[in-house]
Amino acid sequence: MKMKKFMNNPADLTKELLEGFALANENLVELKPNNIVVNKKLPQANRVTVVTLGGAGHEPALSGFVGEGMLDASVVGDIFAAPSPQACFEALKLADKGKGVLFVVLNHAGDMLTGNLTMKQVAQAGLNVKKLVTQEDIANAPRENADDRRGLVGCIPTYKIAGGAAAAGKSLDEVYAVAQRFADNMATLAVAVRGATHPSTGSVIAELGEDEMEVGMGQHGEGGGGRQPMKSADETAKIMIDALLKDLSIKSGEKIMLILNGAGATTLMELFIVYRQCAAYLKQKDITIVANHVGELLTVQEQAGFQMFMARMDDELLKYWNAPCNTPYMKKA
Amino acid sequence: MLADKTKLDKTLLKTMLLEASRLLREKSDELSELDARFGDGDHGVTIKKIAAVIDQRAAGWGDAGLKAFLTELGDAVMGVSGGAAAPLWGTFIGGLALPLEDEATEIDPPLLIRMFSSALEEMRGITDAKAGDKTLMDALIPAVESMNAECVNAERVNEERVNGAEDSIGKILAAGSSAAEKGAKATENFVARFGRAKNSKERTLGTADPGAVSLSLFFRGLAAGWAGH
Repeated sequence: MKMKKFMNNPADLTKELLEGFALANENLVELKPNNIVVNKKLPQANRVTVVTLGGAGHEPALSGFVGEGMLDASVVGDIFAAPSPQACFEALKLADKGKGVLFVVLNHAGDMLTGNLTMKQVAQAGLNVKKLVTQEDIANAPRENADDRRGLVGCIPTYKIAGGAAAAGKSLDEVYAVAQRFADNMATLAVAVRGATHPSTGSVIAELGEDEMEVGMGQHGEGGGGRQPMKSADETAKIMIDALLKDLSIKSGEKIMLILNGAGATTLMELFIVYRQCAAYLKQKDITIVANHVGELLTVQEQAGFQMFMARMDDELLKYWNAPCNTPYMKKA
Repeated sequence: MLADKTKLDKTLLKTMLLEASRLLREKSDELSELDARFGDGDHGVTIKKIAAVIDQRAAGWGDAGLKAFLTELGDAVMGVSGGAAAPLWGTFIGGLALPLEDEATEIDPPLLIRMFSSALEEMRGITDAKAGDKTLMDALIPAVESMNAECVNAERVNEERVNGAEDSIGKILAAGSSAAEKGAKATENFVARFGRAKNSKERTLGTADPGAVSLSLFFRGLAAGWAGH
């Protein structure tokens, strides 16, 4: 199928989307050279700061969460591609306000290579940076092999928790510890019903049959798990909730965060219908949703499907999740 | 008298790099198509960007010596935003520069081998991928091994010859190119263990790894550039 997208020269996608994003949010963020999006209040920060890296094409992620209480800088690569280690190093230097920087990297081949090469430069320069990897896709590896798990939407609440702890004046070690505890207790499962087109090439990523869905799609809909006949919202919700509860060993009486993240072409109508069943099913199991989000945080163009995210919560994590933040796509008073 | 075919200088290296970047650009759409099967379909886009950097740097090569040029080229390639390929290629090209002396103006066969061995070592430092994991290492490892074997052979032959040396650089590059191509082709028989394709597991059998293919094209371009000079 021919790609139908509003764009100009495909080579300018990242540049133009970032320019538009910065113009639309000029009171909150600033676009610096080398595609670094910076929290406008960073110059006044006297605390630990939080930086991340990742490809474009997943809007509002990742830069949509740059602002007070979440990310201080996001280093943006080209469409679905990691930025350079040089740009990341520059962003870390820029973000360091003397209290150290938490550097959040999603577990994808390119991002990890860039993250590791950046840390080499960090070590040479003697910067105070701690790297945290988010890897929570339960579809492509068991929990024992967490290093093989992809980083999906879980990076977003991780930024929030880390940003909350940083704003509370915690040290870098403390911010890292609380964010890592959250990351160790989170899990995501994704389902795809229709693939996306790569906006630079127009090629379709992962084609699915008319009546098929795939549980365990990757960030870009690349294959990962079971293809099966299309199911109803209620059936799909139950399959996914069961898988996440099992992976996290969550028992009756526990408190969780639940996020339904639309992949780009699945409607809010569908997400609410799925959420309704999740809430009822969890209540039946005596598991309490203490934090939630339903909407688009991290998308993949016009891919249809969603990511279901779950995390075990405690009072401290909940406090940081609920702490104030002011970013283009997440605001808490 | 025949031109000396046992040494490689700035002019020749430039010719080789330009041919390699031309070939990479020519094949970039095929690389994207290959990547679309189990990756996200943009490997050719990244390779095109890397080729543009090689092209631009090689064409505009000023006074920089071999070492400085290759070091800067590696940094520039690493600066390309393009997933795993850019840091890998940047590390590879930067690795070539390491064994060179600052003032080096010529590369003889043993030095050429040291350069490629160094590039391989640098790559091993940043990726855990081993032979058979369906990555660009499946092209790189056999290429460097074959170049090494060919170098040993060429040196021996040249010692035995009285009048002039044979084209040992050309033979070494050809050996690397052919081994890289075979290695890339062999990835069709492997199950992906790295990158996005690894999630498709056994389904990746029968499809070559785009990263191995693109690196083999680089070797082919270097050899063709030398052969055509």
